[in-house]
Amino acid sequence: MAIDTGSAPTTAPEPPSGAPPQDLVMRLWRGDASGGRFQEYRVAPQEGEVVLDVVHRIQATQAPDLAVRWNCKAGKCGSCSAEINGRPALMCMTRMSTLATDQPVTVSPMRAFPIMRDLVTDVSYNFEVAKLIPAFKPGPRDPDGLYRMAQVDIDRGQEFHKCIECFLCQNVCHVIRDHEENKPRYAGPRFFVRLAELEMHPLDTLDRRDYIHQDMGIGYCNITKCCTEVCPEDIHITDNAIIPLKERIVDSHYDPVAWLGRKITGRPAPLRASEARKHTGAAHAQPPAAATPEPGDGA
Amino acid sequence: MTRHATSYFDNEGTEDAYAVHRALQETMQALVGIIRVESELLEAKERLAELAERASKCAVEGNLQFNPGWHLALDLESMLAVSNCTTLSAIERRESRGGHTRDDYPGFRPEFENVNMITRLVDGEYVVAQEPKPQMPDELARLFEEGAH
Repeated sequence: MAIDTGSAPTTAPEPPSGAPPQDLVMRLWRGDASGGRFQEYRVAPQEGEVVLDVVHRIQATQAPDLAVRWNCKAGKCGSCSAEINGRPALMCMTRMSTLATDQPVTVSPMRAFPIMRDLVTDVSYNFEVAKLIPAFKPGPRDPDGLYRMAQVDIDRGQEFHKCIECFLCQNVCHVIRDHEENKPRYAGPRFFVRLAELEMHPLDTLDRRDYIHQDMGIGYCNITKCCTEVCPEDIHITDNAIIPLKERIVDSHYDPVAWLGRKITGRPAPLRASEARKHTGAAHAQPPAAATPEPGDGA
Repeated sequence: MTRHATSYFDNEGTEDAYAVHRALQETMQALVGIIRVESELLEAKERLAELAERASKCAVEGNLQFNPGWHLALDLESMLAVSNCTTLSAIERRESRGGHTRDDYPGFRPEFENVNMITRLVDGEYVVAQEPKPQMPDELARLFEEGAH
């Protein structure tokens, strides 16, 4: 759905010196699945506020039915994702003092997901993708019943564990944002982070490379790093998750030297996507079959 | 239940759920706070009755879909119930124990050691009563004996 950009911003007159600070002009998107528009609200600014505080004040004083999803107000729950002046961000972590308040501040819902009401979107697409991720599959324990991992391997995954599932990366990724039709065949940055975490886990035994290539659509990613830029947890999504996955897939699928090596030594090719698919939580909710046949060894 | 929940939309009332919520917060913070005293608790009891009256007259705008103003109006009923339980029990417990500090009754009083304050809604009125504490289960009581040595 196209978002109406509303009327041109009106420039407020300069306040006389010594006068109390002029009202904030907030332009919030109001509407539902059938459509809507930006509505302007004027509120007095308060010291140290974030965007969510101002939205809540508008809700409490001027728009009691203004829908906004929020929980922790501390940037750790990932609920209050929105687009502030067109930039995807958490409302609770965006200080009003970082915005130019001499002009209207625009808050709109995430554009990549269907609107439920006002600033609230239906992010269930992400939960559907989550079901398609083949689960962690550890190997056997050591003879003494323990699992052992090197500290360096544990550290590598810690960055990926920081994800709060705000879905700002999914929202900003143009593969999804500008091409709704890609949703069934593209996992998106959040889930490449999840897949990288599993692929790099020292105890995991499953080979997801062909699956990531065939079903998760990693090839659609153009590494523009938009996801990394909006991540409130500062996860280096592109550099540390997506590019290493792409490298692993290139190594396994397109490297002629590796292909030759496998022919000579008889070492097995990467696990077929169909094998990894059996380990997803949604065997009943398969994505549409990939148009291309599964590649044979070195094909 | 559903009819009661949606009745707020037909309410001709003039009250605003957000304003009532704030008044409830301020009342409980000021009068049923950390250090309690009977006169303030009794005042809180009266104010809670007024707030319940206001809460029932909340006017709700908009529709059923994701409507925070409506949800707050519904939540106020439960918040008022909890506030009433807290206030009435605090009035009844004329001693200071644990997190409950009464300025007018400092220190433990033995007659309150083995009772709980139970508040019930009887014919639309909150009624508080002292009831014996449930017996501590044996396995738990044993732990206390062991700890005493």
